[in-house]
Amino acid sequence: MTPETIQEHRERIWDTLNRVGKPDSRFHWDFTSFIADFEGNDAATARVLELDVWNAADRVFITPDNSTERLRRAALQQGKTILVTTYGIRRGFMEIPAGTVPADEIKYASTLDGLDVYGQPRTLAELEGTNTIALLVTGGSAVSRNGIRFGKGHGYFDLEWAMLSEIGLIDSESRVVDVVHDEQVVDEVLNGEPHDVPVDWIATPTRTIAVPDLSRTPGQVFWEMIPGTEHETIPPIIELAARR
Amino acid sequence: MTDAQVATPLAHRRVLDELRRMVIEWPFSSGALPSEQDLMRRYEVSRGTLRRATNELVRAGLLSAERGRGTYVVRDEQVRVIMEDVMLEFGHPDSRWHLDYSRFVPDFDGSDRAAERVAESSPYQASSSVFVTPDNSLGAFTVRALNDGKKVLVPTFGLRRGIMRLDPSVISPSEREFASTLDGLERLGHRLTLSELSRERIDLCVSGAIAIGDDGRLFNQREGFLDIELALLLHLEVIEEDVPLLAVVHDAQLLGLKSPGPTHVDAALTPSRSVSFQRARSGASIDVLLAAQEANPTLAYLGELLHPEKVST
Repeated sequence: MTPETIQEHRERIWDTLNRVGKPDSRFHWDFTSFIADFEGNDAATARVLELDVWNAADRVFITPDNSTERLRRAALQQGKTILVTTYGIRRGFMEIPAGTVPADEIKYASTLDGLDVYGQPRTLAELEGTNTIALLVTGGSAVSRNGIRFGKGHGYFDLEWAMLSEIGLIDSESRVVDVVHDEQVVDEVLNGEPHDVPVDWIATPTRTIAVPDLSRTPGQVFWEMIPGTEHETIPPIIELAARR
Repeated sequence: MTDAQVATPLAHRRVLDELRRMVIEWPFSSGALPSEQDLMRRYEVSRGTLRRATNELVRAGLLSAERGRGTYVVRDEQVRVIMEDVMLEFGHPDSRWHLDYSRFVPDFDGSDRAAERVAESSPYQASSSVFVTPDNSLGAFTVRALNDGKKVLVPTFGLRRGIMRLDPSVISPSEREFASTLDGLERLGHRLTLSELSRERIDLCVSGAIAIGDDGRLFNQREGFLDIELALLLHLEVIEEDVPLLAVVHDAQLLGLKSPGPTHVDAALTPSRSVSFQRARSGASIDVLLAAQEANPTLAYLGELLHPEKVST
């Protein structure tokens, strides 16, 4: 893609967000600070629920985005354990084990405020040795038709994937689904960087796109990219750095 | 690069750190900071390097340079910075801001006991509708008020999207914990239009705070949302001039010094005690609203209220 086309995509996605994006309880309409819920998200969520890998999983990783809140709710309702990061990974990973939330409190538990109440903090040492994660759900950003995510916020998920890979929770069977609005899908083929995590499916309100011919292996933390970034001070990165 | 070019930023950094520490520890009873000459000697730096550091702290709001009189510590900002450290001892993190206490008022262990004290007070028992600030420390109180059948009005964070109404006849008991969070407020509250808001009547206001002075005045986030919200409610006659205003705080947030802030509470309730203050509240004027709207045009209601001719119908 040329810089001009990237800019065109950015502007179109931005316009779409301003039209269909929903405000956050703290950041309101500042869509640079969070991944917004959007009109039609319930339909995109329903498409994820149809995936065999979703139904087979007893634990799923889900990013702490407003656009993935319905999936956190569905997972808890269906008796799955959810593994989530705190906003910006600032306080690392949290897990809400299956069966720990009463049915009428699941709606609360699936929000970020609820995660602080029902979530149990997990260090990487505590997660290490548990079963591999069959499905990871992420939201937001823009995504190309070959499953490469780009634009605001995609770096957090790449890092989550990398850290979970480092402790052996990701294997060649692990799958990734990206929940986005239709306008966030860019009909281009992008060449990803080594740290990019291409996604297996893109679920939008109107369609499920299976990315063909995906070759992807578990990731790794690219340590040379960490210094001087906000990633430098997040607890699981400090934990991993201490092992090197 | 010459040595001087390397040394200058380092010297600046060092002086800025040392000066900032001195300012934060500057006794409340002391006057102006030492003279420029004294400080240049103390830190062994040039006037230019010292001024750069001083100017940076002036921009940050910690110092005020008064021509011909000297440089003074801005008490309000000094207390906020001190309290950010104090709150680390007892505050609970926020789901978005985490431990950045310059952005929000944290919940704390025992906030439920402080809420209990509010519930024992006579203004509470006489109230039917309560205004509650969107502070994390007021979650337990909000649940209590809803359980006691009171309507609760809560502004969205920073008054950006108006004031929400939580109605105990609509929100079931099992949803009330959720309703008391900002994420729950979004989903379970009803956003009041300006005309709906003006039809509400509130007989008790409860606020969180960063700290409270021994005269009962609040130290709060620099934007002063509570002052704006109270001025708005008073202007719309949702509250009366003498509406009781109570604060829920941790014991460590009660300070033995005066606050320059304009808002005065009738009492502060902590997990361990209730402290009453002599009331000295001045009626808020429309000037507060005009200034607030000018400083931040995105605040809810104010544009529509103050400049109705500009609002398309």
